[in-house]
Amino acid sequence: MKWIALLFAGLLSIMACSGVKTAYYAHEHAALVAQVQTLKQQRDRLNDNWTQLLLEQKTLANDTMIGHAVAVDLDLHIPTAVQVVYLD
Amino acid sequence: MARSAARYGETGRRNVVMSILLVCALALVARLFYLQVVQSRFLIAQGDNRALRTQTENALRGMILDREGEPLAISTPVSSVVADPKVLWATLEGDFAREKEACLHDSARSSYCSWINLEALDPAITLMRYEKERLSGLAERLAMETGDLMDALHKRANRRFYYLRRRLAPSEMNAIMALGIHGIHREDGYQRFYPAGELVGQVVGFTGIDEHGQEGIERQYDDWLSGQPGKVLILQDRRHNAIHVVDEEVPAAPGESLQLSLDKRIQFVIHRVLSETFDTFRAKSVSAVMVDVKTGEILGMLSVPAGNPNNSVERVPQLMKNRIVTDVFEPGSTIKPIAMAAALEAGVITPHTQFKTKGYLAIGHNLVRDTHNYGTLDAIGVFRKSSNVGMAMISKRMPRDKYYAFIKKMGFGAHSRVRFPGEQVGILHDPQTLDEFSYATTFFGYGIATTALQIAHAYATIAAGGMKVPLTLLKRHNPRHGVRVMTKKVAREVLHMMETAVEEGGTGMRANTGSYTVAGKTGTAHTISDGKYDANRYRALFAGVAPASNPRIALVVVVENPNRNSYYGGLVAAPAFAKIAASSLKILGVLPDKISQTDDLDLKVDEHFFLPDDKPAERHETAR
Repeated sequence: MKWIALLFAGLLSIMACSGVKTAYYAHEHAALVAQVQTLKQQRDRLNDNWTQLLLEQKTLANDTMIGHAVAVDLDLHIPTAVQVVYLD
Repeated sequence: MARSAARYGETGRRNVVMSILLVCALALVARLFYLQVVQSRFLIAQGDNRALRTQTENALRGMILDREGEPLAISTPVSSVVADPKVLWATLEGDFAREKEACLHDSARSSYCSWINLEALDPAITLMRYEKERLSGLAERLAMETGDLMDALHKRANRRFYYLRRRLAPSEMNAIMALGIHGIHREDGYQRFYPAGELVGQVVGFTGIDEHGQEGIERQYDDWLSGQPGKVLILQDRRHNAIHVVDEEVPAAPGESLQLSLDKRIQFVIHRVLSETFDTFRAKSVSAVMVDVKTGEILGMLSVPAGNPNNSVERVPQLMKNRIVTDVFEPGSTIKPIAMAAALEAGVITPHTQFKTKGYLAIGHNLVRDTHNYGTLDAIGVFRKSSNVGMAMISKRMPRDKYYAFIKKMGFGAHSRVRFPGEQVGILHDPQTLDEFSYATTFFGYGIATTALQIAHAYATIAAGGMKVPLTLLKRHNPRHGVRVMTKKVAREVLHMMETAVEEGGTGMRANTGSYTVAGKTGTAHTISDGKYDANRYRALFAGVAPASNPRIALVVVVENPNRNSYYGGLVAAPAFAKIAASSLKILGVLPDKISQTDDLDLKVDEHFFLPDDKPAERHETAR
């Protein structure tokens, strides 16, 4: 009888451990899923911010504005062929 | 003293208790059976309704980049304001009734209380005033009159879905949602923007409202750029946090980026020069295409007038069509290098073969004429003077089948590998079907129709020593080997002829640049109106390669219907060629081959800016 009781107690404790582990892993899984969701949202938000910043940059620094700044504000001009020396 | 249970009927009581427990157990089992078997589907469905959600994942459309990685098309988030007019009006009516009731108990509750219960006012007018005040904030953020907003919503009072405004920035949308009006929702999505606007609009194209390509590269590579929005079935807790991914119904795949062979800086140069030419000659349109001779990549491709794809009003075929591949025309004298190469390759002439041109040549009942009588010319002279008579004489020596095969090999009468939407193949008649005069005219660019891209490709082939490298609009990371279509010797001879055409006295001398040597050919052709040649309308062309000593680019400039007195290719298109070629070669880092090389430099210092270090005071003085 004693060994049956011991076996029963052993099985019961294994079951209890398994139950606790299952609950723990389920919780961990849920936490990881939530983390993945948060990271995806963060990725999307960063993507959104990046594209907006990229657009702003390209709008503020378009070729026409740079060309105007170079030619008018900085008074820079492309040298003519006779002003260029090609060093060996 | 312990009492004996048996005296009180222990067995009977046990049986009663056991029976009750058994009944309870049976009831539990029955209930379990009912819930787990009979009601299971219903209960699972109910549970799923509360906890299972399908979540969509946006697939960001890939960017389109130029060869240097500059973005040409970007998708960015935008939101649409969606109204549910039925819910909106019902909610406002309910709010109005509640506000009236509340104001009766507490007159300082809100600003509405000062007038909401005035008996002198018609209740319908009071309601309207309440609605107007509630919607004024929304109208302000939508930049509308409140009355107009109310009218629009009243007209659709029975509808459940109405776009109030599309494509708002997320920050503007957040401000609208902060108003907390029931019946106003947001719909998030993406919109495509084109930072380079009209510089690349005709090539890149644009997307529709559903973010799918409608024109150009956006359409051609739609599958590649779009990606696939994902769909995931998730289990939520009561706070709507995902706790378990049940099924990934459709895996999300973001769109891939696409790197084009175009260089935005070259596009800018082309746009600037073509706009000048367009204004100067009041042309109908001006187009240019530039091909990298060594790699077959298309570096620049633009027509003016050009439309900005960011502006829906400008998305019209006249402004957005890529004339380089969609417009076919008779190439005029720009076909002569190809015809000359065909004759040299067939061995029917050499560069020094003599032709006695007399200014005209009769073929049947028709006459081929030159602008002047050039007398006896060798093949180089025929090319340099752009003699139609000389070319017609060459046509008489050239076997038709060989000519046709050569022209086909050069890429005429067929699609390029670019496969751009709307690309035309041109018109190339089988010479066997042509009479002698019509056949002769194909040697100086009539009776054959090509696209500007086909001409650029043919010139690039000559410049590459006779190797035809397939064209591409995508950046090539590994060099592609071409197919030999003519011998190196023939290619070199034709290139030399093209150099003579831009020398002093040649028809294309205005295509010369100060820094780089150029080889090319002018072309002037009558345009066709109502099925016949228009005597007063012309197409001016210049096609060439640079630097002539070691060609890097092939460039074609087409000016359609220049409206000034100058209409010759050498006067109208050649100067544009020179400006574009010189600037583009600098951008590409090609060393000038016309500037003398030295290792001895006598540097003249501008003393306004550079003074010796031991004279700081003078420098200060000068700077002031």
